[in-house]
Amino acid sequence: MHGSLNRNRVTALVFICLGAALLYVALTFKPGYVDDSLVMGPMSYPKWLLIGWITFSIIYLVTGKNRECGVDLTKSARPLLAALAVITAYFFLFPFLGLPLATFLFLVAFCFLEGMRDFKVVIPVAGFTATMFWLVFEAVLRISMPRGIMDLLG
Amino acid sequence: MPEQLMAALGMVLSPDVILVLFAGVLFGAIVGAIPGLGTAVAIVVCLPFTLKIGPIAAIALLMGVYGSSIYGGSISAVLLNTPGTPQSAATGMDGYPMAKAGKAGQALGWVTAASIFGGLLSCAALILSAPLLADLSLKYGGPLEICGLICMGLACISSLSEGNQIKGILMGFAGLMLAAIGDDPVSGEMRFTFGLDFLAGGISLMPVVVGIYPLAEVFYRIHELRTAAHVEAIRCSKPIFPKLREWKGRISNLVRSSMIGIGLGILPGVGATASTFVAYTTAKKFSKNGDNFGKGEPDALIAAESSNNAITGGALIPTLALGIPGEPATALMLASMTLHGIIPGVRLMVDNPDVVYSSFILLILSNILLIPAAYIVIRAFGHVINFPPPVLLGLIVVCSLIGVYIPSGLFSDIPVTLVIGVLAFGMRLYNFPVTPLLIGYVLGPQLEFNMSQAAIYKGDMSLLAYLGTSPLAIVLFSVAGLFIFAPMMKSLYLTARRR
Repeated sequence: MHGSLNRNRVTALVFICLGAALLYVALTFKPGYVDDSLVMGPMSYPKWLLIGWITFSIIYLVTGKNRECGVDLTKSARPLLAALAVITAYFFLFPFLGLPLATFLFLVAFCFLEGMRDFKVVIPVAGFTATMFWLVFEAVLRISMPRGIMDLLG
Repeated sequence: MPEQLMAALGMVLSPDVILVLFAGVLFGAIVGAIPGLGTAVAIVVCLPFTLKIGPIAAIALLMGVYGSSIYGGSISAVLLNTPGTPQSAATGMDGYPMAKAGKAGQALGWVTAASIFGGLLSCAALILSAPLLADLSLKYGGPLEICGLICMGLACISSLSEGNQIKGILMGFAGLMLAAIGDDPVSGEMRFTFGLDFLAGGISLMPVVVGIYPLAEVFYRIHELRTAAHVEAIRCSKPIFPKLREWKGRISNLVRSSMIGIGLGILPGVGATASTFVAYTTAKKFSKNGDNFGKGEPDALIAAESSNNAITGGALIPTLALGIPGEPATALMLASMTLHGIIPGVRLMVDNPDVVYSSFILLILSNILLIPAAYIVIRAFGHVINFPPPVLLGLIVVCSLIGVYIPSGLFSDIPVTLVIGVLAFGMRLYNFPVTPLLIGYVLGPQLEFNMSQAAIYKGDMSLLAYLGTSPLAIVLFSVAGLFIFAPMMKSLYLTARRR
């Protein structure tokens, strides 16, 4: 059994569980109002999709041999996690810091974490890029972007 | 049709549209030349810039990127022996040996000329056949037939996906399910929102496309940067175009390979990579220099390049005539049209002739503008390739975030994008193709709407009796079934025989 429970089959099991949970939601769904003129209810189409999803997940479970080798993330795990952290921080700080400042800080942090540590290059590049994006969207395309703390500074 | 083409020409031939088109051609060729990024990433990165300009200028930018990014991939295939896009893999097999032999300019000359010819021939096919196909689909396309068409397209894309066919089908279902989140298009009831307000309107387009293309690509490139070796590009300052006499005996190869590209481009899911290799092997069989293939033969470059650029017009035929995209780039084009209030589908050519006919002309112009773009990109290639990856990836992230924020102005789309990006990166690592996911997501609302219409038309008839009223629908559903089940049956048969 140990050999037969490979990564593909674990993935298939996760898919089946997810499909079953969503199918349960679809089957127990109570519509707010019932319109008799509608042949298809709001959950008819998702139900068919979920039945198809579960069927093919079962086929994947049955046929999922351990042919594919795993992906080696040992070398890239740390930079990947660092990138994820800095991108998440950028996405969440963007409304509070505003586009130019958030973009500048993000580019400096991202380049530093991804191994580009020459600040004589990184800081001008990040400053130029952040300013250019701000000018292109605000002045050329006239799209209002978040100003964040720039509003407080007037 | 000529009147509509003339009207579209009037709209397209304005300095700002041409400028935007050229910017798109240049940007597409540059991004295409950077190995690993590809057409879909180039288009998604451009999307935020299209949102507040008119639809014709927006389409000009996207057509420019679409028409030139495959060509850009061939520049790195020739000068670096690393194709910028998968479609250019065959180009490197002969382009790099030529470049190593000191004929980089000549190789790029053949590549540019063949690309432009393939692209222009595919534009002619597009202009001639898309209106005819759209007319036919309007005459014979009821909701049942449209359901059949969408199912056939999805089955084709899913089953021809690289890697495991079941994975492709599962991703197609996942895309359809993603589109089913939020309000039901018929009754307006909320589905699968789990009490979360931001899911009430469904998952918006931009978080999906940004998550599965540029963001997942950024993560993948960070992973790859730790394993890839540094390579040095061969220097070249400009393409040297072949003289007229050098074309002697090669025209038939050029036309045949372009026709292969157009034909395979029309079929959903086949893709430019497959068509390039079909054209390459066919050319090898027919060429009198077949033995030189792989050693730097111009015939090989002509075959590979004319076919991979001819895909563009071919792939746009079902996209514009039927609203069925066959590859990520065309799915993104359709999706971006919805951002401009244009509804894709079989009525696209009737409701928005200006957009469709302008697209035809813009694609022709983007092929012509490849000539000046080639001179610029080839000269700048050494700098492009040495651009620091962290800065490049950082810029992609910034464009992605802006692209997600602008259409809705909602910050709630941002965490959705992150989640989709991380999931898409995981899918890529484990060989789950993301193309069926995107195409399922784009076609999902159309499929559901037409299914609910078909259910009303069916009335009290049994499903089989209703299906019997449309032979065309029977054919389309049968082809869809064949695409899904035939490879599975074959695999089960082979497994049983081995035992």
